[in-house]
Amino acid sequence: MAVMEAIATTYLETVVSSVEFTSIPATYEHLQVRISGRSHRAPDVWPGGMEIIYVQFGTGGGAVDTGANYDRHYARGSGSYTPGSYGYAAATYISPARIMFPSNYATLYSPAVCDIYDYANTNKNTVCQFTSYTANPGSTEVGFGMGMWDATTTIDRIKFSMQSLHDWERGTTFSLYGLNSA
Amino acid sequence: MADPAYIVDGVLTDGDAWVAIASTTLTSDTATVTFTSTDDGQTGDFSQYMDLVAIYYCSTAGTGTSVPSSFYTTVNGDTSSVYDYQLVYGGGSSPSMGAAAYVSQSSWNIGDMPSNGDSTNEMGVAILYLQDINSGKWKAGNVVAEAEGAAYGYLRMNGLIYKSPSPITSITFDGSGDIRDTSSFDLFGILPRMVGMVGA
Repeated sequence: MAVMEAIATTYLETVVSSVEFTSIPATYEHLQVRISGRSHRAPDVWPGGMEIIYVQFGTGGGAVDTGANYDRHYARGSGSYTPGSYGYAAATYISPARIMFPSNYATLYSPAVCDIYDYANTNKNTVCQFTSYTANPGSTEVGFGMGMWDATTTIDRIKFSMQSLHDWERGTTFSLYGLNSA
Repeated sequence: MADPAYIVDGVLTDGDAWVAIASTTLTSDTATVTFTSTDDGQTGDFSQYMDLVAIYYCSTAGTGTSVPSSFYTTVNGDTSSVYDYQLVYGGGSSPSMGAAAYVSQSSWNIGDMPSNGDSTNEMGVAILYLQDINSGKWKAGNVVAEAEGAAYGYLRMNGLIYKSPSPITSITFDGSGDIRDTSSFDLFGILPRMVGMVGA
């Protein structure tokens, strides 16, 4: 049995507001999503900034949960500033990663990796962990974040969107992997 | 060009997306270690992979008494000023964290590793991810590195940019001075499964 199986890769041929993986099998131990992405925000009102990824989960073949059932924490290193962190509870999404803004470095897509642990275990709330990196000519940021979905149901849907309903840029890729145990 | 063994009549038969490309363990102090794409359609051909993963377990012959020494990585044999990185680190027994950004470097400094002043048994470890390595994008990734010496210890994460749209066809590991005997390097490729093309 393969240790790590590629479930699906989505390549964006056009700008979209969100990407969802649906009907995810419950047969794996863990999930991993690998993203190479950037924002297509219009208008670009904050050229020096960076975009925030939103993540939501769903179960039972339904839509993702949009209730206030998510907690998250994010820690970052930015430039030479003293590293900082912050957290929020009872939010309607997890926001554990930062990616490229449209006005910066047109051919640079942020790398981000999201691990979702024991997602099919109905005795545990689901926890995910992120690493991400974004850069523009004036500042850069590397971060690691985590989030918890306050539900014990098996995840079969994951949605990736952005703050304020901004869009994903053409050329962004999402790859979903399943990790098996012995 | 023959298909690799895990592709039969154009069908992927090996479901494992994480493919071991190359591995080396040094038997003597060595200046650099390079893994190069075989460009033959086989397992060692980088052009089939979405991402690359490198695992380092290494130390350097840099000078100093239990002083960690920088460890570097370049791709495509390119040592021009096209490497940027942002790091965040923590070290010591009291809370000590910091961050720093570097632009237009000739390599990525992926972290400090144990050096001449440390026991030969002391190695640092790093895991490096490079994503979408065959796209026309600038190449980017992350690396997490950790080192423990007799008089120090630290943990570090870097975000990495290679300011070039060229596909990655080789990766080179370089210490401060030689890379020490018994250091090891493993390279893996991660395959995609292209089932969705939104907007096509």
